Amino acid sequence: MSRGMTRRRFLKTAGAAGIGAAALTPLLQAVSREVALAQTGGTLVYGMASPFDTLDVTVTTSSYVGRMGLHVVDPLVWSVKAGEYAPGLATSWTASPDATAYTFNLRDDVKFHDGTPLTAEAVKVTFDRIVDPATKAQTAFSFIGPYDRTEVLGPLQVRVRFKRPYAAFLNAASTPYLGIISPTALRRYGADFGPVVFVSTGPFSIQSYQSGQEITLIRNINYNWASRVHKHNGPPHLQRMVFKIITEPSTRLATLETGETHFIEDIPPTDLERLKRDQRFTVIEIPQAGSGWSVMFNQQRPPTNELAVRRAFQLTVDKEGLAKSVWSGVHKPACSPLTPNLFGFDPETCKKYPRNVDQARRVLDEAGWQMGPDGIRVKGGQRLVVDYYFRTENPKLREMTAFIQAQMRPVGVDVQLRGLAGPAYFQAVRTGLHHVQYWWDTGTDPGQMLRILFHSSNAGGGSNRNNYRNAEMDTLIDQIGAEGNPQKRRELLAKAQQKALDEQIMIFLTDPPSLFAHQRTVSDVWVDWGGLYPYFYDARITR
Amino acid sequence: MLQYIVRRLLLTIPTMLAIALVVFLMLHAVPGDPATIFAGDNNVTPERLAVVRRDMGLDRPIAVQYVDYMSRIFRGNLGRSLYSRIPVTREIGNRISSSAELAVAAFALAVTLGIVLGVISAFWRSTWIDVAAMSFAITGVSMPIFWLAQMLIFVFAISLGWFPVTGAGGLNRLFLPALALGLISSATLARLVRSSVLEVLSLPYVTTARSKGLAEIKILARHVMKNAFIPIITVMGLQFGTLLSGAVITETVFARPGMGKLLIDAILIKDFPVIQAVVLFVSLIYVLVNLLVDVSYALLDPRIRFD
Repeated sequence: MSRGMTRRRFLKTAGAAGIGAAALTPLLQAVSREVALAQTGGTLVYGMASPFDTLDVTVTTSSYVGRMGLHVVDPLVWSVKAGEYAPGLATSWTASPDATAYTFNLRDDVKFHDGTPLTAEAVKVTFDRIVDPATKAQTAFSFIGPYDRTEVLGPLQVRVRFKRPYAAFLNAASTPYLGIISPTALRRYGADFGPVVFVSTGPFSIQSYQSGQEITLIRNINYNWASRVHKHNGPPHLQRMVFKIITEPSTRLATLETGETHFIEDIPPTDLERLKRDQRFTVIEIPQAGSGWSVMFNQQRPPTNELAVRRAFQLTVDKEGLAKSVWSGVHKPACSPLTPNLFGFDPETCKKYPRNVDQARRVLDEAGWQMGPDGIRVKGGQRLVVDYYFRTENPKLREMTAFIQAQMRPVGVDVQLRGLAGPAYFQAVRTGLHHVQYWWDTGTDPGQMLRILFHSSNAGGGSNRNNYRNAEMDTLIDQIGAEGNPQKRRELLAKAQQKALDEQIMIFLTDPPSLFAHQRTVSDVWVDWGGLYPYFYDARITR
Repeated sequence: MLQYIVRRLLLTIPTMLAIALVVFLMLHAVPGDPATIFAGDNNVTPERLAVVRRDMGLDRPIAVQYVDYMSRIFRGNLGRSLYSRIPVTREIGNRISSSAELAVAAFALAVTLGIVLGVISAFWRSTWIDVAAMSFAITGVSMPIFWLAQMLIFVFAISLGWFPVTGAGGLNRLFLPALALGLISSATLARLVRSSVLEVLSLPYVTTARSKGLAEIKILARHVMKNAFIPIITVMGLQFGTLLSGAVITETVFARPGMGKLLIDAILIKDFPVIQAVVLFVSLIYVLVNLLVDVSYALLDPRIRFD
């Protein structure tokens, strides 16, 4: 197939050349280059777990779009490991001491897929558009943080300014979500930019898109600005990539087994062991960076406004058992709001409040919750009933909730399952009807994670569905966001994690890995340290 | 007859208007605000949510939204999805051929198998043939489609490697989904055909035909089938509509794009323009299929007149 396509492209190019013979020499060069490329080539088919909302990675709400998008954009910097960065589109950068301004020098040899050159102006257009409410950017909007403005200092130099210190900006700039888009294409395509087309600078460009079905990327043969993080420079080895949307996990796995896909994401935990033993496949298992599965307690509604009730959950729920039964032992019991691979994770959190069911009973007794005749505790005529809200789209959530319900019952807590579909669920938890709800998030900046969970600015309908408001915690989070010194930042992070546990704002259940599998014939797949983005720039398929 | 068809087609207009109104009202009665769902678990302030709501046009009074919605329909503009911002007509256009392909293939299979099984079990009623055919039908009716679909994948795609697991385009990719969907509807149809044929077989005119010495096969083909077919065709019409728009599970398991999945996904995120457009479209299909069914009555039974 790759041969046929090359020939067709050749004929197309040749037809164009007939118009002007003067173009013959560059044409021949292009042809010989194509021929050379065809010797690598091949199409990699990627089985995706989720449909896309848009092609525009700077607008999307879906983290799956980021996995495709990283191939189409180039980040300003690459994250090598937690807190360490390498050049991407930016050759060098400096941060102001107070972390409110970042100056980037851009590469001078980068072209967008539409042929226009990358300029400082494009960075400004991209970032200004992300914060424009009319764009309705989601993930990128939260990554760009307290963005103020971008100043164009020269054709290839920009300064990005923030309203308050934002030490996490480099981390944000290393995600695909702040990739730079072509201002020319943006003007040209208007409302179709994103839904239908997307033009950036990456090693692949979008060839076709059928919403709900698949996206085909084709290699950018002019690509010659790879980061030194990767193994080679020049066009990608693969000729095409097809991202096929296969939402049903068992079907996705079946396509890998029949060879219809080369690479799949989100392997069902129950199939992991079997896949690992299968000689035909390679399994990639990387602890996922972010905040694992956890439980948020609404601190504004009785009875979860009481520390004792929240503590009873922490002391009762068997995280190990949960990881083993619901998640087939693939997850690890969690300790803190941060996953252990994040910068500043505090291992002390694992020892702080270990499981102790008797102690849970004592804590509730001491708080005045007396065991009632039906085995449910009562205080002041009020039964200890907890409304547990979860989304029904994910069957694992029901399993986890049932597990927790069964464990809380002997302690005298009546957990009521309130499974709802998306619309009703979000309505309920954003207005604060819940006592308890789940959280799970991915991300590589610890300060950002804590802000999402605990900062008062996100309470009352935002992501802090703990509705937890605490001035001391806000200050800590703001300090973490502004602190450039790693040692000091680590101390602040430890303090915030300890505080989250001491006040038992949430309980942290399990930390999941990112699970991918691919055919043995695929080699050189790069995955970031956070396990979020498999990247195929260096990848090859051997026949 | 022609007059009747024209009259029925004109009646489609008020029917569609009523459907449009009901869909609109239902969407607004169900809890859940699209702007909130759009924000999902993202970190969104109430102010920004208000902007999104305004941008989606959801801050206006319901009546204004309704007038705007209806006037857009009359101008043939179904709008863009609130989430993907892809024009709704394009979303439907992308999926309709795949859905139609699956529906037609599954329908053909269901009708062929359903009628054959139904007729032979009626004809040889209370014999082992009847028992076997009806056991098949009961198994089919009670078999969950997601299980059947996965079993088909396991047997024909993974173990035997005869067919690909997923996708649209090409007959080999159509086979397994059409088989899964068609087998299950054929079961419903087979049971109906059997009872309908049995009922007609017990009528006096069949006895008369028999007493004239007509061969059983002739009685069945000429006299029984035509009369038994009226209820069967009604159900077939409804089934076609369901196959076109209700094949969500089949579409999900085989990762095929389709109208059913488009609709369900839109409902789960309350994507008003998509839900409205798909429901209108599917209703139109139902109305047209019903018209065809009614017209076919007259062709089957000359006693039925439409004027």
